[in-house]
Amino acid sequence: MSFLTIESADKNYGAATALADVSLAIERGGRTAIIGPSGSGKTTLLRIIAGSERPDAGRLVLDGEVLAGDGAFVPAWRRGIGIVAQDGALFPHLNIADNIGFGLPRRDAGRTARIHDLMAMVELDASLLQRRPDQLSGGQQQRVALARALAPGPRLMLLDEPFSALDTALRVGTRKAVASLLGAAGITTILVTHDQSEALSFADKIAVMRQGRLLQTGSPRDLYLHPLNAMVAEFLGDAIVLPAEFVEGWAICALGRIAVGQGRLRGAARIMLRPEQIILAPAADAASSAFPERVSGEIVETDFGGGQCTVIVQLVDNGLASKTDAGAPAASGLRLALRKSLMETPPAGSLVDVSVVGAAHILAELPPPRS
Amino acid sequence: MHEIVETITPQDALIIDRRKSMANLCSSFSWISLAAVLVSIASLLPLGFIVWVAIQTGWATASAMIFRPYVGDLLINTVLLVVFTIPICVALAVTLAWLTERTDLPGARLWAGLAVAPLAVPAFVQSYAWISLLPGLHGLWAGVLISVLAYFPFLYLPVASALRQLDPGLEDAAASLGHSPSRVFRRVVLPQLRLAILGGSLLVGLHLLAEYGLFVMIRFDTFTTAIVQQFESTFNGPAANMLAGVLVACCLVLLMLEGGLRGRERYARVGSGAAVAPRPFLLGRAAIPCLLLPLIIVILSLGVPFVTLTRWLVAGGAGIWRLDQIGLALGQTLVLAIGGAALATLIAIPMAWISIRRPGTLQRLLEGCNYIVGSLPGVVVALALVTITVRVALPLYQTLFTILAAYALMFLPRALISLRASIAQAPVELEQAAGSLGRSPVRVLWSVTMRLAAPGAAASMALVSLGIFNELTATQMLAPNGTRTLAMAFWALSGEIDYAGAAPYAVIMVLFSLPLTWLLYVQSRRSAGR
Repeated sequence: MSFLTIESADKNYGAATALADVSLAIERGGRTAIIGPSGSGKTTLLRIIAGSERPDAGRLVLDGEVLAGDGAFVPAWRRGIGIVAQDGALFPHLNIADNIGFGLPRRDAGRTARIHDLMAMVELDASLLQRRPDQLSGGQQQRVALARALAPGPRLMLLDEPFSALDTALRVGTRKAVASLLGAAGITTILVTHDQSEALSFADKIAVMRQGRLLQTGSPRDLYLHPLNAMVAEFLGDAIVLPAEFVEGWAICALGRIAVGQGRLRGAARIMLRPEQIILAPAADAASSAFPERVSGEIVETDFGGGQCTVIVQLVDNGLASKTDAGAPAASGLRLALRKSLMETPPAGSLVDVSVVGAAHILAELPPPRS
Repeated sequence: MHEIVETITPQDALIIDRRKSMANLCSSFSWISLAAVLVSIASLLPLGFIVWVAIQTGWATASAMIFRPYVGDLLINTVLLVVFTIPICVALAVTLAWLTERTDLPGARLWAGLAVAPLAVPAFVQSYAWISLLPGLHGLWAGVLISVLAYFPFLYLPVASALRQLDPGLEDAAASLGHSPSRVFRRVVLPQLRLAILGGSLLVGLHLLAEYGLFVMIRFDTFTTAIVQQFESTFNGPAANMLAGVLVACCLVLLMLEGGLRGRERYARVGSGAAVAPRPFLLGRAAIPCLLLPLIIVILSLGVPFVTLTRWLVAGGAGIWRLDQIGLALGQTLVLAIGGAALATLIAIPMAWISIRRPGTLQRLLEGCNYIVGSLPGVVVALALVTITVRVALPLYQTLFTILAAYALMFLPRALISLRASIAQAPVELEQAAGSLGRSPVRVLWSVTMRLAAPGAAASMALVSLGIFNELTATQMLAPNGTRTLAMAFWALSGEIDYAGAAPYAVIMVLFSLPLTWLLYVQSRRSAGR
């Protein structure tokens, strides 16, 4: 039995649909990331779990207790669910100690000791305890917000884009610290974010949302390599989506004959490759090649970016399409944008052989757009 | 050689020219500072004369005049009035603001507008409405009742505005930490309304100290009514001045109290806050009883004046519309209002300019003076100007100049607020550009800065002129003989118990105050971003 279950939750704001039939199950102790573009309903889903918002329909069950649905509604303050908001939402009229102690009973004998423990846990110096929130840096504020949410010992922790207000260098460090802290405490966590790299590195389970619907859930690796459709694929990273024809267990496409991981092996469909699957090699002499079906391309542009450079490869027609009677699209004119390390970046104007490592992933057709 | 010299000369001249104009710029900028200092010194005159009169009177006489049972009674009256009125206003304003801003109260926007509307009814018209409805009304409790009805919007406006700007994320965070809605309100919402409540309370308190007409109508003696009575009986006796001194001390106590309670903390908001609009509190079945509060307040604060004025207008019929007299009063009022507003705006320009462009010690000092002078009751300013003109410059006594000067001093802070905001809109780079194109600094100020600040100047004129429109105390004491403004005519007629005859004047004052009230309401909405 899952720790948290959301069953077909619906939420409308007037005519606008915020959530449509969202179902999600989360395991105890797990770290789940809900990812989607802004306006996808991910924050609404978080607010429904927190109890700040009431679902129009559907059920929400935490650890066997019905929080919403079946005519029941447990208000936010009785749920025992901690939140860390985007900007920390620290109380500006209280100092750091009172902020952290806000959820602890005021006459508790161990209150001060607990506040100090929590400060140590989030790796902040106890000298900050008497400061006001506006005297702290953004990263420190987020740590205080986390300590404050941890103080009453929540059953579930909700993180609402807590790292997005931090600058890049701080973001990664804070995220790692939070992940290991929550992991050590064994607290089930849900992170809402629009940053795919954050979701991929933080969570052991990812749910992709769009337009109020849950498109796909799964492990980060599974979602990255086997996205359901092009939308999910592109949301989790750069993707090369190509039309292909399946012949004898191979996918025939502009990049040649590629192994197929799974799925049907007949007819036509679209396949997805991640750019890192594309290997560029200096063009071999055509005559000496033992591999007549190789795909060649020309480097039309390189964009120097330090260690990582962007290379634009334009494929050169090699007559491959005419060799297969399946009518795979001509390779000529197709441009690929690839990120390569500086050492692997061929100079502009040079000719390269293009090959693919690993298997192609077959995408499901996109559902028709909702009216 | 010759050629070279020729090519150099124009450049040299240019450099010298530029230096000259820079020097010009600097010197005339200090002219502006000097003007601001002079205005501040002039505005400190009333305060200075009270001190001077006290010194002249001598300690023995002064203490005999101050430490007597009569002054004690006045002090008790004033303190009780303030002590009862302000907490009731706070409770009422916070409750109304919460109902209109944070709940699903039916017609919340309408109630929000109606909660500000009593500002359009001058306090002495409010009092007139009540006394002609219940002629037996008098004393402390009548004073508290009418004061609350007349002044609670001064608290409602900032509190409602603060509630709207509060980050709902804070309340969500408090709820997630296990606090019930009532505890969240007490421990998170209320502390953040503190500055709004303190500021509004100070405004209400200063009005209570300064108000004359309201309390005379219901026969409740405060320092202000006593000073005017003293002035009317003994003209410019030291007794009135001593009372004014005590009144000024009361104002200073209020200012210090507010400053002390406010503390140094500014509650800087952390982060931008969630973009989520606050979820209204669902009243459910409580909506009907909750509607009773705004309904009762509207009936008392707007319904009573409306019914009374309508009754007197109907009872008086066409006979009370003495158009010649009303027209004359309106004309005189407009001349005084516009003249006073123009003067106040003009003398506010240097101070507004340096507070934006030359912030520093001088500017803080001037603003501090301004803050204290702005909180002085009209009766104190008027009494001081009477003293000054009678003793030093008798030809100026009861002239148009003196009354306009009094208005300018009294309403200088109002003029400053809008002017400062609009001068901030005119960037200094434009002045530098105009200066580099050869305009003299004074012409730059006029043709660039003031042109851009014109909307703010217009707003400041409007604010000041509407303040003068309903001014009674200083006008009575300082206006040239034969002057009869709307407020004076209203006051004279209602003093003769000709309530019907006074009604048209009250209606005109209310109608002219409506745009200002509307402006305040819209501004408070806009500042909250809605």
